[in-house]
Amino acid sequence: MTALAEASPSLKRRTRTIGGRGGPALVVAFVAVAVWWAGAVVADSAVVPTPDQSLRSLVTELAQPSFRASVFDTLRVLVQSYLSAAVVGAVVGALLGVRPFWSRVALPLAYAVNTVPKVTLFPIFFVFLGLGNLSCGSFAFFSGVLPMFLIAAEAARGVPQAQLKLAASLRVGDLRVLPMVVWPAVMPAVAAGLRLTFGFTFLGLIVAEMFAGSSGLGQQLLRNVALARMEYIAGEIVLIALLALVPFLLLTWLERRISDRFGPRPAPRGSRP
Amino acid sequence: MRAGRRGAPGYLRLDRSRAGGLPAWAWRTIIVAAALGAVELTARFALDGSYELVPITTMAERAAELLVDPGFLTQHLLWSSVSVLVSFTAAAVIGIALGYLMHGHPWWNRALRPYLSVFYAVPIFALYPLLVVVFGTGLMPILLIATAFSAVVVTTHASLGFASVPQNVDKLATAVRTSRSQYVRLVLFPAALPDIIAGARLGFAYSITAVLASEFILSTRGVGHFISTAYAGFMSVDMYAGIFLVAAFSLVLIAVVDRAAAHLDWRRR
Repeated sequence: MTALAEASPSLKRRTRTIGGRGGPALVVAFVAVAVWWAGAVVADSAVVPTPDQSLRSLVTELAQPSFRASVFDTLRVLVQSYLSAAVVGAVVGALLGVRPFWSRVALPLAYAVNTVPKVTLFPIFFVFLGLGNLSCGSFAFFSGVLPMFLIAAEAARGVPQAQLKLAASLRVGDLRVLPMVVWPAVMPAVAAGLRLTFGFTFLGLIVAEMFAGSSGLGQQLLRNVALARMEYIAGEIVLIALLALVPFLLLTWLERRISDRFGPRPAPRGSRP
Repeated sequence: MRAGRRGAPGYLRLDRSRAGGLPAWAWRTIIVAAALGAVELTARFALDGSYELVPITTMAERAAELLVDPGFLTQHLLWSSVSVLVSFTAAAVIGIALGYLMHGHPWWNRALRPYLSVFYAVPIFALYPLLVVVFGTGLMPILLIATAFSAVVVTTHASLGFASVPQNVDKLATAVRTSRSQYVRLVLFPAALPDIIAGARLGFAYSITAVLASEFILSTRGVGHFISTAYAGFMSVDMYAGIFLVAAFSLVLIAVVDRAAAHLDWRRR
C-alpha cells in the first residue's frame, strides 16, 4: 500500500512541485555534522565517536580483506535479490493486472499478505534455508517482490482500454501485447517501483544479516556491538548509507527519464474548453 | 459484459463476474483454504512432526494458550503493544508538526524534502546497534527507531495534504477574512485530513514492523524477542504461534484502522 501511494502519479507530481533548490538541504547536512562533531567533542567519550574517527575507522576496516569480503557479500546478494524481485514482481504483476477477474481474486490476498510485517516471517526462511546468504537473499527478495508486484498489477489495470481494443482488432497475441502495449503504459509506475523496491530489498537484507547472517554488513554491525566499537559502527553506517544512496539516486534519475518518455503528456494548449 | 466472447484475447479485460462457474470471493476462499490445507497436511504427514513446520491447527492452539498466559501477556505482548502505541503516537505528532512546518515555511520544505525522499532507501535499522550501545537494550532504542521509521511517512503525507487545499478555497477563505486559527481549523486540516489519515495508517504499519524488527535483533522482551528466542531454542511450535499471533493481530488492526479511516476520509464518501 505504501509503495502504491508513493508511486501514484498525482502524489509524485505534487511532490515534484513542492521540491526546490538544494541550498537549505546543504545547510541542514552541515548543521547535522557540526552538531554530531560538537556533541562528540563535548561528551569526550568512547561511546560517541567524532565524524573523523568514524571515517578513519571505516578506512581501517576497508583495508582488511575480511571486511571487504563482507561488503562484497552484501553487494552481491543485494544485486541478485533486487534484480530477481524487480523482474519477477514486474512481469507477474503486469500479467495479472491485465486480467480484471483474476486481479479481483488475487490482489486483495496480496494486499493482506503485504499487511503482515514481513520481518516476523524471516525465521521461517532460516528454518528452511539455514543460516547464510541463501536465506538472507531470499528474505530480501521476499521484502521487495510483493511491493513491485502490487505496483505493476495496479499499473497494468490502468492501461487504457482503447489501446487494448486496438491491439485486439489488429489481432495482437497475448504475449506480444505485453511489449507492444502494456509495458510502455506501465513503465512510469514500474520505474517508481524499481526505486521503492530497492529500499525495501536493502532493508530486508540488512535486517536479515543482523539477525542471522554468517557474513555481510549487517553481521559486521552486530559483531562490533558485541565489541562495543562505536567508531567502527558509525563508520559502517556511513558506508551503508552511501551504498544505498548511490543506486537510489541513479534509480531516481532513471525514473525521471522514463516518466518524461512514457508518462502522460500535457494536453496541447487550447485543447481544453 | 460477459467474458469469453469467442476469439477475444484475455487482455481485453472483458470483465466477467465468474470463472469456472465461481465468483471472485469463492476463488479467494479456495486459494486461502488450499494454502492453509497444504501447510496443515505437509506439516502433519509429509514432515511428520519435524522442526521445520507445524500444522496450522497446532499454531492456533498454542497462540490461544499464549493469549491467556500471564507471563507472555505482560513480558511480551504488552511490551510490544506499548512500544507500538508510544512510537506511533510520537510519529503522528512529529509527522503532522513537521508537515505543517514544511507547508508554512518554504525554506524548511526545501531543507527537509530531499532527506524525506531518500529516507527509506537507507536501511535505518543499521542505526539500531549504535542506539543499543548508547541506551542499552531497553525501550528507548526501540522507540527511537520505530518513531523515526514511521514519522517520515506521516510527514510526507501530511505536507502533501496541507498543500492540497484548492486555490479557490484559499481565495474564498481570504475573501471572508478568516483568522489564522479559523483557517487552520476550518480549511487546512479538513483539506489535509485524508492525506494525514493515509500517512497515519502507513505509519502505524511501519511502527509495528520497526518494533518487531528491533526486538528480533537485540532486546530482552517483546513478541519479536519471543519469536527470536523460540527460533534460537528450536521451539518451533512457539515460534510459529508467535508468527501466527502477529499476522492475525496485524490483519485485524489494519482492517480496523482502514474502517476508521474510511469513516473519517471525506473524499471516499
